[in-house]
Amino acid sequence: MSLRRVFKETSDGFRRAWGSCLLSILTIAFFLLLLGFLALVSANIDHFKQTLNDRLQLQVFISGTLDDQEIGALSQRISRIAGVTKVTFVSREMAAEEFQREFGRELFAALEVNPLPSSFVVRLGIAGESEGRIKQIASRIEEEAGVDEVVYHFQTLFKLQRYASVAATTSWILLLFVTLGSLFVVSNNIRLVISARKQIISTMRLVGATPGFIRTPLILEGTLQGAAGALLAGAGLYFVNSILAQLVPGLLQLPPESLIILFVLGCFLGFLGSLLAIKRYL
Amino acid sequence: MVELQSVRVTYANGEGIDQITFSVAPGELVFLVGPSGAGKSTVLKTIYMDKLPDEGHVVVGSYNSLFIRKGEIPFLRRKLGIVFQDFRLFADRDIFENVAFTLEVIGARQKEIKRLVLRALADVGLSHKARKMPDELSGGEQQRVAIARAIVNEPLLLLADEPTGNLDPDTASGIMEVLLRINTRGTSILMATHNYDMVQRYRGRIIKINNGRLVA
Repeated sequence: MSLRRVFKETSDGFRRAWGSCLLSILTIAFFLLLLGFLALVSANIDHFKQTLNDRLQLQVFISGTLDDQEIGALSQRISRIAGVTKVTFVSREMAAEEFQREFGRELFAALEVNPLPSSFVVRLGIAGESEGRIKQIASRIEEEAGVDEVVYHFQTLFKLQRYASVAATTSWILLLFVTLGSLFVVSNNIRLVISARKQIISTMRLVGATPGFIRTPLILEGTLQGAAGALLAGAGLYFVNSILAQLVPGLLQLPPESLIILFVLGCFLGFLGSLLAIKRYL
Repeated sequence: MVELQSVRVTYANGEGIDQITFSVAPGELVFLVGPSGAGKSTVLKTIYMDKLPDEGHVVVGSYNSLFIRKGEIPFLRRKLGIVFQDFRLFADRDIFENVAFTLEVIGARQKEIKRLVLRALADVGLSHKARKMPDELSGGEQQRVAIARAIVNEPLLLLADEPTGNLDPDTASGIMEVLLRINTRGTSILMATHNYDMVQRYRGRIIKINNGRLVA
């Protein structure tokens, strides 16, 4: 069968049953939009969780009597404690700059001396570990000579992290169900379109058409419906994403690859849906 | 050209055909006559191999039901033209496209398709309705389109299953005239019908069937 004929038969299929084709396209678009939106939500929750993990750090205030050599040695000792991934020294001057950046110069100018102590910011590589474990590390650091105080505020972070984990799990499960559901609905929808052509397919066989001759334009039609649905969904998702990005600063943006994945997924849905539907009649 | 030898087909309900033996020679006109349920359609089905015999064999040109592979059946059907009582036109395409489909299946070129379709439509007197949709035609006209679709590929044998069954007597006579004209030009025809009185008016060999068996 020539390519020209396949494309003619496919485009004729669209023309002859444009109503049901449009319905298929809209169904695919709706499910892909839902899928894309859920994927966006899931990705943002994961991103949020990562941000929370990045904030798992201790502030270790050190005695003002330590000289540079002692500070260096203390930094080395803290680095060797299990669970510590990074130790950054924050001098009194750097702390003052940070303070002024956050609270303004006026407040700081009113003070005659810099009251801020030197400190270490200790990053922990123990994302997802218990609060008890973090307390353990904090106590261990506090035992070091030259350490005045160890400060951490993990309660809120842990709570947020727990919520984020539940939300992430829920959204991924939902994503899985929507994917399976969309395959089922799209396949059924295409099946209805093909079922309406049952008589035609049977007559085609009687006049000597091979299964491939009948199947190819129908599968191409299904695949193109999937592609058209994906383009619609991509446009919709891009629109939703740009509005949300304006409303929620820091929201993870849709990468261009995700639109390509959506397009491929749409084509695959249409292809598989029509293949499964035709199997019944050929 | 077409030969059935001791063919038996049994359906799940026990009905079917048995000991069917006859042949159709090139250019011959054969009427397969019998009441409803006698097994006429089953005989035709064994010829276009929609049903393969449980016993015996069917030979159509170079194809034998004993040896034919599933993938070869479409190619066998391209050697036959089939006309049904209910026309079975493609409701989603116009008359020209309905007839052209038979040629598209065999991969004919567009120019050739146009020439042959117009000739077939002229043969059945419907050239002027080439761009009409099937539901815009009368029953008799739809059957003529079905005949045009069946003969456009110049088949070895035209199988007609009660082609006049749904038509009034005048229209039925018109269809018979078309079939006879096609036969005169050399196309073999095997026509199944329950109308014994009608076929007696035409030349052609009559084979009678009842309860799934040929009767003298």
